Amino acid sequence: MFAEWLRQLRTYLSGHNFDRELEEEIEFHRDMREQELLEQGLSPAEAKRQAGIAFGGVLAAREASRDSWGFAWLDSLGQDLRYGLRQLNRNRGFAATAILTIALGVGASAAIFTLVNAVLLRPLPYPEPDRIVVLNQDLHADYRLPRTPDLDLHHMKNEFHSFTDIGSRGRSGAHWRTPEGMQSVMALHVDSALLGLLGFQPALGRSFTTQDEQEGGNVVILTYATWLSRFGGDPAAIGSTMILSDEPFTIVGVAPPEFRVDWEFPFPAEIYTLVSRYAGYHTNNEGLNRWGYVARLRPGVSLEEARIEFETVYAAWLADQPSEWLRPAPEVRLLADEAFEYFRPKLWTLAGAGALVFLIVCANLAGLLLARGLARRKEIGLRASLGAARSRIARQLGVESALLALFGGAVGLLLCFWAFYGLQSALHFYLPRFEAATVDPQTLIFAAAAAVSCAALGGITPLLARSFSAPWHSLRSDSAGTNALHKGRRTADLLVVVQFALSLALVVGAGLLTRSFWNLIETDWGFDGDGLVAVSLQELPDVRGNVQALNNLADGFAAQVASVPGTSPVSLGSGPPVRGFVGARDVIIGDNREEPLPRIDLQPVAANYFEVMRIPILRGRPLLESDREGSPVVAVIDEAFANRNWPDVDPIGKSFAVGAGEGDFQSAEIVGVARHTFRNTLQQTVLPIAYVSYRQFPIHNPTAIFRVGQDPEALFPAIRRATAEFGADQPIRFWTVSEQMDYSYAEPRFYMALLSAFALLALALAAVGLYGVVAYSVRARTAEIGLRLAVGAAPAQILRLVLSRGIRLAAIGVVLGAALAWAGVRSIEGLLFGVGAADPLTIAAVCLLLFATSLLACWVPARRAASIEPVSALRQE
Amino acid sequence: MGGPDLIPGTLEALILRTVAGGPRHGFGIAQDIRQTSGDVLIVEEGSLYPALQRLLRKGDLVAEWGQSDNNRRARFYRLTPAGRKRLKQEIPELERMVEAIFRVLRPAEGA
Repeated sequence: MFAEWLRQLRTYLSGHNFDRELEEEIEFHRDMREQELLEQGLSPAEAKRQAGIAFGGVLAAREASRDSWGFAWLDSLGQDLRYGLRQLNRNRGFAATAILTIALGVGASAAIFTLVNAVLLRPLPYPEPDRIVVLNQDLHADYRLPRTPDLDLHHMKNEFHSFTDIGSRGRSGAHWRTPEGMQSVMALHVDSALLGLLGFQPALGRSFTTQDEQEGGNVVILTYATWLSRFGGDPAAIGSTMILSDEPFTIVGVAPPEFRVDWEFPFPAEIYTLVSRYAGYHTNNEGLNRWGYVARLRPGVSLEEARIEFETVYAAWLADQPSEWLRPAPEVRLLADEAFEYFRPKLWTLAGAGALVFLIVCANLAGLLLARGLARRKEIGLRASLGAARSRIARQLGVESALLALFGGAVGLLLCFWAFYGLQSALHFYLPRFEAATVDPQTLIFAAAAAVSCAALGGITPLLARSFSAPWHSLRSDSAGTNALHKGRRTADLLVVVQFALSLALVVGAGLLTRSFWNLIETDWGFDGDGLVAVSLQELPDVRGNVQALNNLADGFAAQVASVPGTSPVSLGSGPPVRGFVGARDVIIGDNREEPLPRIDLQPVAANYFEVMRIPILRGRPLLESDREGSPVVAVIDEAFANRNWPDVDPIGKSFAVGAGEGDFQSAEIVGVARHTFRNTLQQTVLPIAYVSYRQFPIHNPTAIFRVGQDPEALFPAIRRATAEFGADQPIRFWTVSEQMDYSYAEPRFYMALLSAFALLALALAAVGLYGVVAYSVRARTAEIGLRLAVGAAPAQILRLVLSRGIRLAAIGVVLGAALAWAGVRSIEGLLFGVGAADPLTIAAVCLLLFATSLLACWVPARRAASIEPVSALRQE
Repeated sequence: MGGPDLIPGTLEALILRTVAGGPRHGFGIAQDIRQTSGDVLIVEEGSLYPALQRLLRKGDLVAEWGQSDNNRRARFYRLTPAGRKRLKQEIPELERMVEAIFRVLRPAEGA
């Protein structure tokens, strides 16, 4: 059937060609007939005459031929299109406004759709990704639970019916010796089972095999990005050797560009190595293996069944372990859920905001079309009276709406491109799969659907509002005619109410996020990050445990860094101040041995740490040079620690015992209280901190910390040279602390800015809508207003009347929208910082803003109403 | 009036059958039908060309310009796979119709 329409369309479009060819064909036929008659013996003249007769009416034949193509519908469609285009051209103001309105709605929603699609909706790049699950048995973020061994699922895949395969994964840094020096590289440890169940197909070379695992496994697979950037995309990289942690590894393959396993981490791993090879490395302080397990569900097995089986097996295992172990409930979750868990609520909030904007845009369009429809009612009434079928008129109006949708959609797509790529470049934090995302065919389909639904929703409203009375009613200007007007006005009022109701949610949300952001910026990090630089050394495993060697390492490193001019004074810490290693340790306060033990963040630092970092000491004293081996073990705790355990008492002189590994505890006396510092982003919960001298508790990742005037990066090459001479032969990393701090702000700033932009857009649209309604109302009631003025009303009264009518509409919208706003606000609770969802200050500000907006929107028409000349107004009738 | 389209669709079937024997131009089709039917079925040009256009529209025929026997430019019609399929269905259908007509016109002897 489609094929037939296509043929029809093609033939229709060939137009003149069709006629010409038909004519030629008919002429040929006639000539042949004439020839035939000649051969039968007729005279030329007679043959010609008879041939002409036999053919009958040429014109009729041509008409009949044309008719059999059934072009009638194409003809009338063409008519409608031409008429519609002419109408739009004659009313350019209306057309431009309508097209722009649709474009705004389409552009905004399509851009957000592309973002949400790229990050969340797209399936993960594995075969049947909805059958891949993670098996969790330890919630790593909870510092309070004891570190006991996991159930080793490595070798257990045959014991589970629910899973066809179980793979392991883990992440750690490795040292890579290159000709340029030691470099740090992030490795993702996997096994052949994991790669198999994820459907891994190498882009180059081969994958890991069970043979590799049995033979000791010094093999490496590069990620595509690493292959390009560090190996120049050279195929000869396969088979070459990488020196990792001083052992030769053979590169056997390169992963495809989109392949990834560690979605939760902002910085993807650069190489893949075998779990079996790294069993010794991936341990924590207590020497326990910490692997993540990924499994594929067997066909036919549901997630719930798998969950039950896993819990049963786990409970049986746990029953055999020492009874003091406390473990969280094990869980089985979809990999997709786990990977994007953090991002999902925020992105859906964005999507919700986009949807609200879209609806408001539709309401605006509806108002536009309504006004236009009312303005054209005479024209349409006339056409109906002259005999146009109602269906024909409706179809023609439909074509006009379709044209608006077409142009609006096209412009909207352009807006979407601009908005999406603008968002991409403005994003300075991690959003998985967003960086490389592009506008794709799905976006096009979405944009088309958005344009069509916008035009449809907008176009339906005038139809609903139009009274379906006999067409000649609209030709009259008396009461019957104004009936139609009346219904139209009520609908327009309703639209304004809807717009303000929807805008409320957006404005409240934006207001709360703005306040959160302000709170964030105002928060005291506890130290001065200005110009602060950290240079950290990755420790080599053979030094671990050897306290003397560790101290020498730390001292030597600090001395080398200090030798570079411009760095003094240099202090030492166990990692960069922000986003560094959290030294979580169990702690015993007094006699309190509640199980599980509380935890603190133990930070071994040099004595001048507080001075260099500019952390205020609130009570007692900072650490001193005299706190070293042989001296009494002391600690400076932070406010959080002090307030939690000694809220009303001076903690100076009290002591606590901190875990030192393998069940041993070292007690320390409190000599000072420092300001609390944030070690990660401002929003994350932190452990109480205890600072100790590095000579009493060794540092494992010596980090030199110092302050520079400007341009920290200028010193980096010199520091690299100095530390290389030190002979540590280990990779070092630089951190510009203020950049790390800024990273905390990047995400909240993004959401605040985007939501604020939406809120402003929504408010502007609502204001325009209100203006339109009030202006129209004033114009329509000019006579009535003139009458009032003539019988003695003051212009100020008229002004107040018009204003109050308009503002009342907005207020009704706000009241009705309160419920929606409440729901919306609850959904962004996770993004708020330092403000409650029902923050009174924000609510007051929002109400004020909405009042001011509606006042502004009504002002001009109100002034116009107040300055109506009564005489001319009455004469207008 | 009368002619080959007494039963609707007959003309189209005749055209399809004729073209099944090889590509023809409009005049050739009419000639073939007349000759094969022994001068009984005479297709008027006024009904031939609309029928051809209908078949083109339905996709049972395709047309392209070529050279006629006497080296003149003519439009030739060819059967498509869809047309071939339709022809295979039409022939038994028409047979059935004709049989039925004659069952009414010539009731069984001895009735």
